[in-house]
Amino acid sequence: MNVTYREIKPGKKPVKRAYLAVMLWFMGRAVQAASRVDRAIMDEVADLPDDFVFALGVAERGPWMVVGRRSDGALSYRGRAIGDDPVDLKLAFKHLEAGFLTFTFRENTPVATARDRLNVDGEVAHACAVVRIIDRVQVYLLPKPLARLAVKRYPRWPLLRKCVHRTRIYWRALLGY
Amino acid sequence: MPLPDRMQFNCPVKLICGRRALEHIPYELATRNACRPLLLSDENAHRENRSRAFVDALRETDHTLGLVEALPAKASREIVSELAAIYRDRDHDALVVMGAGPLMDMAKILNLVVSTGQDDPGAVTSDMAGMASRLKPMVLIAPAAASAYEASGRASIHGADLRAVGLMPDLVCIDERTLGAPGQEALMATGITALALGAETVMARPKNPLGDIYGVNAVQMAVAALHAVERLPDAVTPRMHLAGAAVMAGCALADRAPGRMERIARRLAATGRTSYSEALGILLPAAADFGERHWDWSPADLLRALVGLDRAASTPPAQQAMSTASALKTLVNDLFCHTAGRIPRVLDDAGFTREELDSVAASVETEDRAIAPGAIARLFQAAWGVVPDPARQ
Repeated sequence: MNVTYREIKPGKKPVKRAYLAVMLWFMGRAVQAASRVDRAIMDEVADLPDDFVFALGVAERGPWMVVGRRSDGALSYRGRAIGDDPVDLKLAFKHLEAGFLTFTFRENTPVATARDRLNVDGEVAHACAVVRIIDRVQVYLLPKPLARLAVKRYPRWPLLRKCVHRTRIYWRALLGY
Repeated sequence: MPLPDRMQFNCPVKLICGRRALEHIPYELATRNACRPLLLSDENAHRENRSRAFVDALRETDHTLGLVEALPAKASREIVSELAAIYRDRDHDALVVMGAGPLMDMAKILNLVVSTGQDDPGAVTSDMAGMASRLKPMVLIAPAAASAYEASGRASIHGADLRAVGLMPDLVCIDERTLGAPGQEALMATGITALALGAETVMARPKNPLGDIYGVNAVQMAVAALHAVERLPDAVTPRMHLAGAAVMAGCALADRAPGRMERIARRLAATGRTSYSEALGILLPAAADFGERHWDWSPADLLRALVGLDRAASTPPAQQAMSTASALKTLVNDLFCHTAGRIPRVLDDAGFTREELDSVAASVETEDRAIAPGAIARLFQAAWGVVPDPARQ
Protein backbone atom coordinates (compact mmCIF):
# COMPACT_ATOMS: atom_id res chain seq x y z
CA MET A 1 0.00 0.00 0.00
CA ASN A 2 1.30 3.45 -0.91
CA VAL A 3 0.62 6.22 1.56
CA THR A 4 -0.82 9.47 0.25
CA TYR A 5 1.10 12.50 1.39
CA ARG A 6 0.16 16.12 1.01
CA GLU A 7 1.63 19.28 2.42
CA ILE A 8 -0.29 22.40 3.31
CA LYS A 9 0.32 25.88 4.62
CA PRO A 10 -2.58 26.33 7.01
CA GLY A 11 -3.38 29.90 5.97
CA LYS A 12 -4.60 32.99 7.78
CA LYS A 13 -7.56 34.43 9.68
CA PRO A 14 -7.75 37.97 8.28
CA VAL A 15 -11.08 38.93 9.82
CA LYS A 16 -10.10 37.92 13.35
CA ARG A 17 -6.72 39.57 12.92
CA ALA A 18 -8.33 42.81 11.76
CA TYR A 19 -10.81 42.73 14.67
CA LEU A 20 -8.00 42.28 17.17
CA ALA A 21 -5.94 45.03 15.53
CA VAL A 22 -8.83 47.49 15.85
CA MET A 23 -9.56 46.48 19.45
CA LEU A 24 -5.92 46.80 20.48
CA TRP A 25 -5.55 50.12 18.66
CA PHE A 26 -8.56 51.58 20.46
CA MET A 27 -7.55 50.02 23.77
CA GLY A 28 -4.08 51.56 23.46
CA ARG A 29 -5.51 55.01 22.88
CA ALA A 30 -7.99 54.50 25.72
CA VAL A 31 -5.19 53.48 28.11
CA GLN A 32 -3.35 56.67 27.15
CA ALA A 33 -6.48 58.73 27.77
CA ALA A 34 -7.35 56.99 31.04
CA SER A 35 -3.88 57.63 32.46
CA ARG A 36 -4.73 61.34 32.32
CA VAL A 37 -8.27 61.00 33.69
CA ASP A 38 -8.53 58.32 36.38
CA ARG A 39 -6.78 58.83 39.70
CA ALA A 40 -6.27 55.12 40.45
CA ILE A 41 -4.64 54.55 37.06
CA MET A 42 -2.41 57.58 37.63
CA ASP A 43 -1.27 56.03 40.91
CA GLU A 44 -0.57 52.67 39.21
CA VAL A 45 1.44 54.40 36.47
CA ALA A 46 3.36 56.42 39.05
CA ASP A 47 4.66 53.17 40.56
CA LEU A 48 6.02 51.97 37.21
CA PRO A 49 9.67 52.74 36.34
CA ASP A 50 10.56 55.72 34.13
CA ASP A 51 10.42 54.99 30.39
CA PHE A 52 8.67 51.70 31.11
CA VAL A 53 7.28 50.14 27.92
CA PHE A 54 4.77 47.30 27.81
CA ALA A 55 3.12 45.46 24.95
CA LEU A 56 -0.05 43.42 24.81
CA GLY A 57 -0.81 41.33 21.75
CA VAL A 58 -0.54 38.02 19.96
CA ALA A 59 2.75 36.13 19.96
CA GLU A 60 4.95 36.04 16.86
CA ARG A 61 2.97 38.00 14.27
CA GLY A 62 0.99 40.41 16.40
CA PRO A 63 -1.00 42.64 16.30
CA TRP A 64 0.33 44.46 19.34
CA MET A 65 -0.57 47.36 21.49
CA VAL A 66 2.64 49.08 22.63
CA VAL A 67 2.33 51.60 25.44
CA GLY A 68 5.08 53.51 27.20
CA ARG A 69 5.36 55.66 30.32
CA ARG A 70 6.36 59.23 29.63
CA SER A 71 8.52 61.38 31.85
CA ASP A 72 5.46 63.39 32.97
CA GLY A 73 3.94 60.24 34.47
CA ALA A 74 1.27 59.62 31.82
CA LEU A 75 1.07 56.70 29.40
CA SER A 76 1.37 57.12 25.66
CA TYR A 77 0.27 54.74 22.92
CA ARG A 78 3.26 53.91 20.71
CA GLY A 79 1.63 51.99 17.91
CA ARG A 80 0.74 48.43 16.96
CA ALA A 81 4.15 47.00 16.18
CA ILE A 82 7.08 46.17 18.41
CA GLY A 83 10.04 47.95 16.87
CA ASP A 84 13.69 47.80 17.72
CA ASP A 85 13.22 49.59 21.03
CA PRO A 86 13.32 47.28 24.03
CA VAL A 87 10.02 46.31 25.66
CA ASP A 88 10.14 45.86 29.44
CA LEU A 89 6.99 43.77 29.69
CA LYS A 90 5.38 41.65 27.02
CA LEU A 91 1.95 40.08 27.55
CA ALA A 92 1.51 37.75 24.59
CA PHE A 93 -1.44 35.55 23.76
CA LYS A 94 -0.03 32.28 22.54
CA HIS A 95 -2.38 32.17 19.58
CA LEU A 96 -4.63 34.55 17.68
CA GLU A 97 -7.61 32.47 18.80
CA ALA A 98 -6.70 33.02 22.46
CA GLY A 99 -6.61 36.78 21.95
CA PHE A 100 -9.89 36.59 20.09
CA LEU A 101 -11.54 34.74 22.97
CA THR A 102 -10.45 37.46 25.39
CA PHE A 103 -11.34 40.42 23.19
CA THR A 104 -14.75 39.00 22.38
CA PHE A 105 -15.26 38.82 26.17
CA ARG A 106 -15.77 35.08 26.30
CA GLU A 107 -12.79 34.75 28.64
CA ASN A 108 -11.43 37.41 30.94
CA THR A 109 -7.74 37.94 31.55
CA PRO A 110 -7.50 35.86 34.77
CA VAL A 111 -9.30 32.95 33.09
CA ALA A 112 -7.07 33.21 30.02
CA THR A 113 -4.05 33.16 32.33
CA ALA A 114 -5.41 30.18 34.25
CA ARG A 115 -5.95 28.32 30.99
CA ASP A 116 -2.34 28.97 30.01
CA ARG A 117 -3.22 31.14 27.02
CA LEU A 118 -1.16 34.14 28.04
CA ASN A 119 2.61 34.35 28.15
CA VAL A 120 4.24 36.99 30.35
CA ASP A 121 7.79 38.12 29.65
CA GLY A 122 8.86 40.59 32.32
CA GLU A 123 8.32 41.41 35.98
CA VAL A 124 5.25 39.79 37.46
CA ALA A 125 4.55 42.82 39.68
CA HIS A 126 4.54 45.09 36.62
CA ALA A 127 2.31 42.61 34.76
CA CYS A 128 -0.20 42.69 37.61
CA ALA A 129 -0.20 46.52 37.55
CA VAL A 130 -0.76 46.54 33.78
CA VAL A 131 -3.62 44.05 34.07
CA ARG A 132 -5.23 46.24 36.75
CA ILE A 133 -4.92 49.27 34.47
CA ILE A 134 -6.42 47.40 31.51
CA ASP A 135 -9.26 46.10 33.70
CA ARG A 136 -10.18 49.64 34.79
CA VAL A 137 -10.04 50.86 31.20
CA GLN A 138 -12.34 48.05 30.12
CA VAL A 139 -14.82 49.02 32.82
CA TYR A 140 -14.85 52.55 31.43
CA LEU A 141 -15.08 51.50 27.79
CA LEU A 142 -17.62 48.71 27.91
CA PRO A 143 -21.28 48.67 28.91
CA LYS A 144 -21.82 46.91 32.22
CA PRO A 145 -23.03 43.51 30.86
CA LEU A 146 -19.93 43.19 28.66
CA ALA A 147 -17.54 44.60 31.25
CA ARG A 148 -18.72 42.01 33.78
CA LEU A 149 -17.51 39.32 31.38
CA ALA A 150 -14.23 41.09 30.70
CA VAL A 151 -13.06 41.65 34.28
CA LYS A 152 -12.87 39.34 37.24
CA ARG A 153 -14.82 41.58 39.62
CA TYR A 154 -16.94 44.52 38.48
CA PRO A 155 -16.21 47.53 40.73
CA ARG A 156 -18.82 49.70 42.46
CA TRP A 157 -18.14 53.25 41.37
CA PRO A 158 -20.33 56.34 41.76
CA LEU A 159 -22.47 56.65 38.66
CA LEU A 160 -21.62 60.30 38.05
CA ARG A 161 -17.87 59.68 38.21
CA LYS A 162 -18.14 56.70 35.89
CA CYS A 163 -20.21 58.61 33.32
CA VAL A 164 -18.00 61.71 33.37
CA HIS A 165 -14.77 59.72 33.15
CA ARG A 166 -16.19 57.44 30.49
CA THR A 167 -17.12 60.40 28.31
CA ARG A 168 -13.72 62.03 28.76
CA ILE A 169 -11.87 58.78 28.02
CA TYR A 170 -13.95 58.14 24.88
CA TRP A 171 -13.35 61.65 23.55
CA ARG A 172 -9.64 61.56 24.31
CA ALA A 173 -9.29 58.08 22.78
CA LEU A 174 -11.06 59.15 19.60
CA LEU A 175 -9.07 62.36 19.29
CA GLY A 176 -5.84 60.70 20.42
CA TYR A 177 -4.64 63.01 23.19
CA MET B 1 1.01 6.40 52.66
CA PRO B 2 4.65 5.79 53.65
CA LEU B 3 7.24 6.34 50.93
CA PRO B 4 8.45 2.97 49.59
CA ASP B 5 12.09 2.00 50.06
CA ARG B 6 12.71 1.96 46.33
CA MET B 7 10.74 3.81 43.71
CA GLN B 8 11.24 5.93 40.64
CA PHE B 9 8.79 7.88 38.56
CA ASN B 10 9.21 9.61 35.24
CA CYS B 11 6.30 10.98 33.25
CA PRO B 12 7.34 13.33 30.44
CA VAL B 13 3.78 13.73 29.15
CA LYS B 14 2.31 17.22 29.21
CA LEU B 15 -1.47 17.10 29.11
CA ILE B 16 -3.50 19.95 27.64
CA CYS B 17 -7.20 19.46 27.91
CA GLY B 18 -10.29 21.56 27.36
CA ARG B 19 -11.80 24.22 25.17
CA ARG B 20 -9.54 25.35 22.30
CA ALA B 21 -6.79 23.04 23.53
CA LEU B 22 -5.60 22.34 19.99
CA GLU B 23 -4.51 25.96 19.64
CA HIS B 24 -1.80 25.32 22.25
CA ILE B 25 -0.03 22.82 20.00
CA PRO B 26 1.77 25.31 17.68
CA TYR B 27 3.21 27.13 20.69
CA GLU B 28 4.26 23.86 22.36
CA LEU B 29 5.88 22.65 19.15
CA ALA B 30 7.71 25.96 18.78
CA THR B 31 9.13 25.58 22.31
CA ARG B 32 10.56 22.24 21.11
CA ASN B 33 12.10 23.84 18.01
CA ALA B 34 9.59 22.19 15.70
CA CYS B 35 7.67 23.97 12.97
CA ARG B 36 7.07 21.27 10.34
CA PRO B 37 4.85 18.63 11.97
CA LEU B 38 3.74 15.49 10.15
CA LEU B 39 0.14 14.55 10.97
CA LEU B 40 -0.78 10.86 10.94
CA SER B 41 -4.44 9.94 11.18
CA ASP B 42 -6.36 6.68 11.08
CA GLU B 43 -9.38 5.81 8.99
CA ASN B 44 -11.91 6.90 11.64
CA ALA B 45 -10.30 10.33 12.02
CA HIS B 46 -10.12 10.71 8.24
CA ARG B 47 -13.77 9.73 7.79
CA GLU B 48 -14.86 12.26 10.41
CA ASN B 49 -12.50 14.90 8.96
CA ARG B 50 -10.96 15.54 12.36
CA SER B 51 -7.72 16.84 10.87
CA ARG B 52 -9.57 19.97 9.79
CA ALA B 53 -9.71 21.20 13.40
CA PHE B 54 -5.95 20.80 13.72
CA VAL B 55 -5.30 22.58 10.43
CA ASP B 56 -7.51 25.39 11.69
CA ALA B 57 -5.49 25.56 14.91
CA LEU B 58 -2.29 26.01 12.89
CA ARG B 59 -3.62 28.98 10.93
CA GLU B 60 -1.82 32.28 11.58
CA THR B 61 1.36 30.39 12.46
CA ASP B 62 4.51 29.75 10.44
CA HIS B 63 4.08 25.98 10.60
CA THR B 64 3.96 23.83 7.49
CA LEU B 65 1.91 20.70 7.91
CA GLY B 66 2.38 17.36 6.20
CA LEU B 67 -0.60 15.02 6.21
CA VAL B 68 -0.80 11.27 5.82
CA GLU B 69 -4.38 10.26 6.42
CA ALA B 70 -6.47 7.08 6.54
CA LEU B 71 -3.59 4.87 7.63
CA PRO B 72 -4.62 1.24 8.11
CA ALA B 73 -5.01 -0.20 11.61
CA LYS B 74 -2.21 -2.70 11.12
CA ALA B 75 0.72 -0.98 9.47
CA SER B 76 3.32 -3.10 7.70
CA ARG B 77 7.06 -2.50 7.95
CA GLU B 78 6.97 -1.10 4.44
CA ILE B 79 4.54 1.60 5.53
CA VAL B 80 6.74 2.52 8.49
CA SER B 81 9.75 2.74 6.16
CA GLU B 82 7.77 4.80 3.67
CA LEU B 83 6.62 7.21 6.39
CA ALA B 84 10.19 7.50 7.68
CA ALA B 85 11.36 8.39 4.18
CA ILE B 86 8.66 11.07 3.89
CA TYR B 87 9.57 12.44 7.33
CA ARG B 88 13.23 12.78 6.36
CA ASP B 89 12.81 13.89 2.74
CA ARG B 90 10.30 16.58 3.59
CA ASP B 91 12.29 17.88 6.60
CA HIS B 92 9.60 17.24 9.18
CA ASP B 93 10.62 17.73 12.77
CA ALA B 94 7.66 16.48 14.82
CA LEU B 95 4.91 13.88 14.72
CA VAL B 96 1.27 14.60 15.47
CA VAL B 97 -0.91 11.52 15.85
CA MET B 98 -4.66 11.63 15.53
CA GLY B 99 -5.83 8.14 16.32
CA ALA B 100 -5.68 5.30 18.80
CA GLY B 101 -4.20 1.91 19.49
CA PRO B 102 -2.26 0.44 16.56
CA LEU B 103 -1.73 3.83 14.87
CA MET B 104 -0.08 5.18 18.02
CA ASP B 105 2.08 2.04 18.29
CA MET B 106 3.18 2.57 14.71
CA ALA B 107 3.87 6.27 15.38
CA LYS B 108 6.07 5.36 18.37
CA ILE B 109 8.13 3.02 16.22
CA LEU B 110 8.28 5.62 13.45
CA ASN B 111 9.53 8.19 15.95
CA LEU B 112 12.17 5.73 17.07
CA VAL B 113 13.22 5.13 13.46
CA VAL B 114 13.49 8.81 12.51
CA SER B 115 15.17 9.79 15.79
CA THR B 116 17.82 7.07 15.70
CA GLY B 117 18.51 7.42 12.00
CA GLN B 118 17.89 3.73 11.37
CA ASP B 119 16.38 2.71 8.06
CA ASP B 120 14.99 -0.63 9.12
CA PRO B 121 12.14 -0.65 11.71
CA GLY B 122 13.05 -4.25 12.55
CA ALA B 123 16.56 -3.23 13.59
CA VAL B 124 15.16 -0.55 15.89
CA THR B 125 12.70 -2.86 17.59
CA SER B 126 15.34 -5.52 18.17
CA ASP B 127 17.97 -3.17 19.53
CA MET B 128 16.48 -0.90 22.14
CA ALA B 129 19.95 -0.20 23.54
CA GLY B 130 20.57 2.05 20.54
CA MET B 131 17.54 4.18 21.36
CA ALA B 132 18.26 7.89 21.44
CA SER B 133 17.77 9.35 24.90
CA ARG B 134 15.54 12.07 23.47
CA LEU B 135 13.29 11.28 20.58
CA LYS B 136 11.74 13.82 18.21
CA PRO B 137 8.70 15.68 19.57
CA MET B 138 5.52 13.67 19.36
CA VAL B 139 2.00 14.93 20.03
CA LEU B 140 -1.03 12.76 20.59
CA ILE B 141 -4.46 14.23 19.85
CA ALA B 142 -6.46 11.85 21.99
CA PRO B 143 -9.77 10.42 20.76
CA ALA B 144 -12.65 9.38 23.04
CA ALA B 145 -12.31 5.70 22.10
CA ALA B 146 -8.80 4.50 22.79
CA SER B 147 -6.86 1.48 23.93
CA ALA B 148 -5.51 3.39 27.00
CA TYR B 149 -1.94 2.45 26.01
CA GLU B 150 -1.46 5.49 23.74
CA ALA B 151 0.18 7.69 26.38
CA SER B 152 2.18 4.84 27.90
CA GLY B 153 5.78 3.98 27.11
CA ARG B 154 4.79 0.70 25.51
CA ALA B 155 4.49 -0.15 21.85
CA SER B 156 3.61 -3.41 20.24
CA ILE B 157 4.21 -3.87 16.53
CA HIS B 158 5.15 -6.75 14.25
CA GLY B 159 5.29 -9.13 17.20
CA ALA B 160 7.79 -7.01 19.14
CA ASP B 161 6.88 -5.43 22.48
CA LEU B 162 8.89 -2.35 23.39
CA ARG B 163 9.00 -0.52 26.69
CA ALA B 164 10.76 2.81 27.28
CA VAL B 165 9.83 6.13 28.86
CA GLY B 166 11.13 7.82 25.71
CA LEU B 167 8.28 6.29 23.73
CA MET B 168 5.70 8.31 25.67
CA PRO B 169 4.38 11.32 23.74
CA ASP B 170 5.67 14.74 24.77
CA LEU B 171 2.25 16.27 24.61
CA VAL B 172 -1.29 14.93 24.77
CA CYS B 173 -4.10 17.19 23.69
CA ILE B 174 -7.78 16.53 24.47
CA ASP B 175 -10.12 18.83 22.60
CA GLU B 176 -13.82 18.30 22.09
CA ARG B 177 -13.46 18.92 18.33
CA THR B 178 -11.24 15.87 17.85
CA LEU B 179 -12.86 13.34 20.19
CA GLY B 180 -14.71 11.66 17.36
CA ALA B 181 -18.11 10.01 17.50
CA PRO B 182 -17.53 6.37 18.38
CA GLY B 183 -20.34 4.01 19.34
CA GLN B 184 -21.39 3.33 22.91
CA GLU B 185 -19.60 -0.02 23.01
CA ALA B 186 -16.28 1.47 21.94
CA LEU B 187 -16.65 4.15 24.60
CA MET B 188 -17.44 1.57 27.27
CA ALA B 189 -14.49 -0.56 26.20
CA THR B 190 -12.24 2.49 26.67
CA GLY B 191 -13.71 3.21 30.08
CA ILE B 192 -13.39 -0.37 31.30
CA THR B 193 -9.79 -0.67 30.09
CA ALA B 194 -8.79 2.64 31.69
CA LEU B 195 -10.59 1.64 34.90
CA ALA B 196 -8.92 -1.76 35.07
CA LEU B 197 -5.41 -0.54 34.23
CA GLY B 198 -5.69 2.36 36.68
CA ALA B 199 -7.10 0.05 39.36
CA GLU B 200 -4.33 -2.50 38.96
CA THR B 201 -1.72 0.26 39.20
CA VAL B 202 -3.22 1.40 42.50
CA MET B 203 -3.82 -2.03 44.01
CA ALA B 204 -0.81 -4.07 42.90
CA ARG B 205 2.70 -4.25 44.32
CA PRO B 206 5.21 -2.63 44.23
CA LYS B 207 3.50 0.58 45.29
CA ASN B 208 4.44 3.86 43.68
CA PRO B 209 2.73 6.91 45.22
CA LEU B 210 3.10 9.06 42.10
CA GLY B 211 1.86 6.33 39.79
CA ASP B 212 -1.07 5.90 42.18
CA ILE B 213 -2.10 9.52 41.61
CA TYR B 214 -2.49 8.89 37.89
CA GLY B 215 -4.18 5.54 38.58
CA VAL B 216 -6.73 7.02 40.99
CA ASN B 217 -7.54 9.82 38.55
CA ALA B 218 -7.98 7.30 35.74
CA VAL B 219 -10.40 5.31 37.91
CA GLN B 220 -12.39 8.38 38.99
CA MET B 221 -12.74 9.68 35.45
CA ALA B 222 -13.59 6.26 34.03
CA VAL B 223 -16.27 5.57 36.64
CA ALA B 224 -17.89 9.00 36.12
CA ALA B 225 -17.77 8.59 32.35
CA LEU B 226 -19.09 5.01 32.32
CA HIS B 227 -22.17 6.04 34.30
CA ALA B 228 -22.75 9.02 31.97
CA VAL B 229 -22.10 7.10 28.75
CA GLU B 230 -24.85 4.65 29.68
CA ARG B 231 -27.37 7.49 29.52
CA LEU B 232 -25.84 10.02 27.10
CA PRO B 233 -23.35 8.38 24.72
CA ASP B 234 -23.20 11.50 22.51
CA ALA B 235 -22.56 14.04 25.30
CA VAL B 236 -19.20 15.81 25.20
CA THR B 237 -18.28 15.70 28.89
CA PRO B 238 -18.24 11.89 29.33
CA ARG B 239 -16.25 11.53 26.13
CA MET B 240 -13.74 14.08 27.43
CA HIS B 241 -13.56 12.13 30.69
CA LEU B 242 -12.98 8.89 28.83
CA ALA B 243 -10.18 10.37 26.77
CA GLY B 244 -8.68 11.77 29.98
CA ALA B 245 -9.05 8.45 31.80
CA ALA B 246 -7.29 6.62 28.97
CA VAL B 247 -4.40 9.11 29.04
CA MET B 248 -4.13 8.94 32.85
CA ALA B 249 -4.09 5.14 32.74
CA GLY B 250 -1.35 5.26 30.08
CA CYS B 251 0.70 7.65 32.20
CA ALA B 252 0.22 5.39 35.24
CA LEU B 253 1.54 2.44 33.26
CA ALA B 254 4.51 4.40 31.84
CA ASP B 255 7.10 1.80 30.89
CA ARG B 256 6.20 -0.77 33.55
CA ALA B 257 6.04 -4.43 32.62
CA PRO B 258 2.47 -5.67 32.07
CA GLY B 259 0.68 -6.43 35.33
CA ARG B 260 -0.66 -9.81 36.32
CA MET B 261 -4.27 -8.98 35.50
CA GLU B 262 -3.27 -7.52 32.13
CA ARG B 263 -1.44 -10.71 31.18
CA ILE B 264 -4.33 -12.94 32.20
CA ALA B 265 -6.81 -10.75 30.29
CA ARG B 266 -4.64 -10.96 27.18
CA ARG B 267 -4.66 -14.76 27.42
CA LEU B 268 -8.43 -14.78 27.86
CA ALA B 269 -8.90 -12.45 24.89
CA ALA B 270 -6.65 -14.67 22.78
CA THR B 271 -9.20 -17.48 23.07
CA GLY B 272 -11.60 -15.36 20.99
CA ARG B 273 -14.46 -15.64 23.49
CA THR B 274 -14.22 -12.06 24.60
CA SER B 275 -12.38 -8.84 23.88
CA TYR B 276 -9.45 -7.59 25.93
CA SER B 277 -11.47 -4.85 27.62
CA GLU B 278 -14.30 -7.23 28.49
CA ALA B 279 -11.81 -9.70 29.93
CA LEU B 280 -10.39 -6.92 32.11
CA GLY B 281 -13.90 -5.98 33.23
CA ILE B 282 -14.69 -9.58 34.20
CA LEU B 283 -11.41 -10.10 36.03
CA LEU B 284 -11.22 -6.78 37.90
CA PRO B 285 -13.74 -7.42 40.75
CA ALA B 286 -12.53 -10.98 41.25
CA ALA B 287 -8.86 -9.94 41.11
CA ALA B 288 -9.45 -7.18 43.68
CA ASP B 289 -10.91 -9.73 46.07
CA PHE B 290 -8.45 -12.51 45.25
CA GLY B 291 -5.39 -10.25 45.04
CA GLU B 292 -5.97 -8.90 48.53
CA ARG B 293 -5.84 -12.44 49.98
CA HIS B 294 -3.14 -14.02 47.88
CA TRP B 295 -0.99 -11.38 46.17
CA ASP B 296 -0.74 -8.69 48.85
CA TRP B 297 -2.78 -6.24 46.77
CA SER B 298 -4.40 -3.28 48.52
CA PRO B 299 -7.88 -2.74 47.04
CA ALA B 300 -8.75 -0.49 50.00
CA ASP B 301 -6.63 2.25 48.36
CA LEU B 302 -9.14 2.32 45.51
CA LEU B 303 -12.32 2.72 47.53
CA ARG B 304 -12.30 6.52 47.68
CA ALA B 305 -11.97 6.76 43.89
CA LEU B 306 -14.88 4.39 43.39
CA VAL B 307 -17.47 5.51 45.91
CA GLY B 308 -16.40 9.02 46.92
CA LEU B 309 -14.83 10.46 50.04
CA ASP B 310 -17.89 10.37 52.32
CA ARG B 311 -18.74 6.72 51.76
CA ALA B 312 -15.10 5.69 51.92
CA ALA B 313 -14.65 7.55 55.19
CA SER B 314 -17.74 5.90 56.67
CA THR B 315 -16.45 2.42 55.82
CA PRO B 316 -14.37 0.77 58.58
CA PRO B 317 -10.77 0.05 57.45
CA ALA B 318 -11.28 -3.70 57.84
CA GLN B 319 -14.21 -3.59 55.39
CA GLN B 320 -12.68 -1.31 52.78
CA ALA B 321 -11.10 -4.03 50.66
CA MET B 322 -14.35 -5.99 50.56
CA SER B 323 -16.29 -2.80 49.77
CA THR B 324 -13.96 -2.06 46.86
CA ALA B 325 -14.56 -5.48 45.33
CA SER B 326 -18.27 -5.06 45.93
CA ALA B 327 -18.33 -1.61 44.27
CA LEU B 328 -16.49 -3.01 41.26
CA LYS B 329 -18.94 -5.92 41.01
CA THR B 330 -21.88 -3.51 41.17
CA LEU B 331 -20.37 -1.35 38.45
CA VAL B 332 -19.79 -4.29 36.09
CA ASN B 333 -23.27 -5.66 36.80
CA ASP B 334 -24.80 -2.25 36.00
CA LEU B 335 -22.93 -2.14 32.70
CA PHE B 336 -24.27 -5.62 31.90
CA CYS B 337 -27.84 -4.46 32.54
CA HIS B 338 -27.56 -1.17 30.66
CA THR B 339 -26.03 -2.80 27.59
CA ALA B 340 -28.61 -5.60 27.56
CA GLY B 341 -25.95 -8.19 28.29
CA ARG B 342 -23.45 -7.13 25.64
CA ILE B 343 -20.81 -6.45 28.31
CA PRO B 344 -20.32 -9.69 30.29
CA ARG B 345 -20.26 -9.65 34.09
CA VAL B 346 -18.58 -13.00 34.65
CA LEU B 347 -16.71 -15.64 32.68
CA ASP B 348 -19.93 -17.63 32.39
CA ASP B 349 -21.60 -14.74 30.48
CA ALA B 350 -18.73 -14.66 27.99
CA GLY B 351 -19.28 -18.33 27.14
CA PHE B 352 -15.96 -19.77 28.31
CA THR B 353 -15.70 -23.51 28.81
CA ARG B 354 -13.89 -25.08 31.76
CA GLU B 355 -11.32 -26.60 29.40
CA GLU B 356 -10.48 -23.22 27.91
CA LEU B 357 -10.03 -21.70 31.34
CA ASP B 358 -7.84 -24.60 32.51
CA SER B 359 -5.69 -24.11 29.44
CA VAL B 360 -5.39 -20.35 30.03
CA ALA B 361 -4.59 -20.90 33.72
CA ALA B 362 -1.86 -23.40 32.85
CA SER B 363 -0.28 -21.06 30.29
CA VAL B 364 -0.32 -18.10 32.71
CA GLU B 365 1.25 -20.16 35.50
CA THR B 366 3.91 -21.42 33.11
CA GLU B 367 4.73 -17.85 32.11
CA ASP B 368 4.78 -16.43 35.64
CA ARG B 369 6.57 -18.74 38.07
CA ALA B 370 5.83 -16.44 41.00
CA ILE B 371 2.17 -17.46 40.89
CA ALA B 372 1.35 -20.35 43.19
CA PRO B 373 0.10 -23.48 41.39
CA GLY B 374 -3.68 -23.48 41.18
CA ALA B 375 -4.01 -19.77 41.98
CA ILE B 376 -5.25 -18.77 38.53
CA ALA B 377 -7.76 -21.60 38.55
CA ARG B 378 -9.11 -20.29 41.86
CA LEU B 379 -9.23 -16.75 40.44
CA PHE B 380 -11.22 -18.05 37.50
CA GLN B 381 -13.58 -19.83 39.87
CA ALA B 382 -14.19 -16.52 41.61
CA ALA B 383 -14.68 -14.79 38.25
CA TRP B 384 -16.95 -17.55 36.98
CA GLY B 385 -19.86 -16.06 38.84
CA VAL B 386 -21.17 -19.16 40.59
CA VAL B 387 -18.47 -20.82 42.64
CA PRO B 388 -17.08 -18.67 45.46
CA ASP B 389 -13.37 -18.37 46.15
CA PRO B 390 -12.50 -21.49 48.21
CA ALA B 391 -9.97 -19.57 50.26
CA ARG B 392 -12.78 -17.43 51.63
CA GLN B 393 -14.60 -20.46 53.02
